[in-house]
Amino acid sequence: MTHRSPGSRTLKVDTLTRVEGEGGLAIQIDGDAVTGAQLHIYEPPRFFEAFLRGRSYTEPPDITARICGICPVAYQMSACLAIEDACGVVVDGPLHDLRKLLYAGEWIESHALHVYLLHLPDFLGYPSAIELAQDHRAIVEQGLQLKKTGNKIIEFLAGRAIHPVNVRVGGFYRVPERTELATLAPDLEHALELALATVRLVGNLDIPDFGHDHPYVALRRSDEYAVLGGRLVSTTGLDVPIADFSRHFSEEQVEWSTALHAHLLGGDHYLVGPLARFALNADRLAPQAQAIAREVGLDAPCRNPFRSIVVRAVEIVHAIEEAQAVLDRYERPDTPHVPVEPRAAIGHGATEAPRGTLYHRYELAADGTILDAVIIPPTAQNQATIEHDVFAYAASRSRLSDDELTAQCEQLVRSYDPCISCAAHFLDVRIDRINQQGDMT
Amino acid sequence: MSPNHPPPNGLPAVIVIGSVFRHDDGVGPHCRPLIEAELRKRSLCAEVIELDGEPTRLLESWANRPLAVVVDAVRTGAPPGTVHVVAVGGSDWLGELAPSGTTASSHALGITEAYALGSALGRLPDRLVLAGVEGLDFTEGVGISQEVCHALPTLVERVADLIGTALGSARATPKATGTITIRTTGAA
Repeated sequence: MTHRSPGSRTLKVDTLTRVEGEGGLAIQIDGDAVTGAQLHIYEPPRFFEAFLRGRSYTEPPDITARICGICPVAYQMSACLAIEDACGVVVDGPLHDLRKLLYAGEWIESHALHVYLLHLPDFLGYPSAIELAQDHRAIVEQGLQLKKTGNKIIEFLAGRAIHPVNVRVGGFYRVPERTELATLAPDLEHALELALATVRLVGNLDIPDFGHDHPYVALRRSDEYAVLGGRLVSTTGLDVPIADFSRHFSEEQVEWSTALHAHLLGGDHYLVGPLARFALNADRLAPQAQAIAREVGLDAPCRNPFRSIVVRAVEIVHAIEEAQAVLDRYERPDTPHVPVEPRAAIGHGATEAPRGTLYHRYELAADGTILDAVIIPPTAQNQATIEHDVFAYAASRSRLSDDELTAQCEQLVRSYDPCISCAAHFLDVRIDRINQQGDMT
Repeated sequence: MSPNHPPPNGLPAVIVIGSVFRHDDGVGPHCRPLIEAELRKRSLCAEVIELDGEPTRLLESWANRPLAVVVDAVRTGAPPGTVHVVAVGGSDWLGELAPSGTTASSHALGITEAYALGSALGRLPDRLVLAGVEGLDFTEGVGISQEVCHALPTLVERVADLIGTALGSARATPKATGTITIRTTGAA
């Protein structure tokens, strides 16, 4: 067993292997009683932590961008913030704005993909987006158009949508002229209409009745709906700087998963992601996002994970409004990046990836060599909570047939948009039923 | 700064997929420079694109083209290093020939599903071909296996042949274009 706690850390990366692409969920039912639920996932970032040791402090934005094809910007931004923190640098002004714009592109792209292609088919009774597209082509086209707008922002600012190349510690390699940035305005205007229509679409879905009361954790800033940095806050009163992450959260390995389970110190599982952000920061949403949330009756806190599809749609509206605001006030900075000189130090950074808080920690030598790296992605933090919710949800529906129960539990897991290899649509659910004689049936 | 350029209609595409951090899964990105060099050597004009396998990006990359060749690692049970060249959706398409890259990247639905989605949305190339190499090692780490490495010359030749054939057909039509370049998009 691997356990990580303040002051001690034992992580055998070599053992964190997996069979490719397998995300699974196992549920044990004894009679009508659910006795267990385990989510089996793989976490690639563990491999990258070892990979980063010995590399230069300038390299994490490019290396960690390879962790995920859907949210590379999140990895780049958390890496930049952590290294800049170690080096005593704060990036603000237009460079911070450009980072917000880039991140907005990733939220739009990632959320649109999840809402339309991965989650919506569940609510409309289709096995996948393919069948949905056959019957409702316009709906899927709407989602693809939104996603394309997100892609376009990323390609525009970062050079390409996957594994972006224009991001560096301290800022960017090149920043656009104001007139260049303005070319995104028509796309954003159209995307805002689509995003508002998306909220109205998903706001009227028939949502399964389910609730939970886990602690929610997210970043919070005084000046905006937190994405880049802030303080770690929770619905249970936590309010600490990011640098205190390891004082309040710990990770441990469970035998059924190569991903480490994160907990609040003391043992409580918790949730990060759209539901947590909305619960803790709804007052910081952009005006139209707040208005459309009210229109569809979405109040904070939202405690039904199935309704996360509505929160994601509201966050798309917010991201577009944020992007438009950046375009409005942007003035090209004198330099595309601020100087960041290495020093022997430890730095912490956290940002709000589409799926939740993404924490990075780097220990640097005086020459900038990375001595140690810690990356804690949102899905690892949510893993225990997902298992608890599956357990509770299945417990109240254990009399359903295996097929029905499987389908409903899959839909629940998809609510968290877990970043598992293919998990969202290839989740392999195994239900083990034990009869009164104690035999497997 | 990347300009907003839609895929140039009429230009074939070679789409390489895979993760270079998963040994043989990275055969697509690994052979990209070899494909580019071969196309250049033969003076063939095509766009070479590196993707992660996410289906909507596939749709955007291959829509409205006369030919798209997807290069990826596959696992079918054939001997490692075997090169499979099959028309996706055609009579020789094997449903079980699922590119491994589709299971190595997050949220990817796979080329079969991307094809089906593209079909439902009318976003397919005129012809879609999978050029797959049977992989041996899909664990974490960089570098491809010797078996896959030995297959690269065959793979590259087959891909260039496909592009050459498509351009040959195109040149016989009024839509033919004359510039001989290789457009590259995506990861280097």
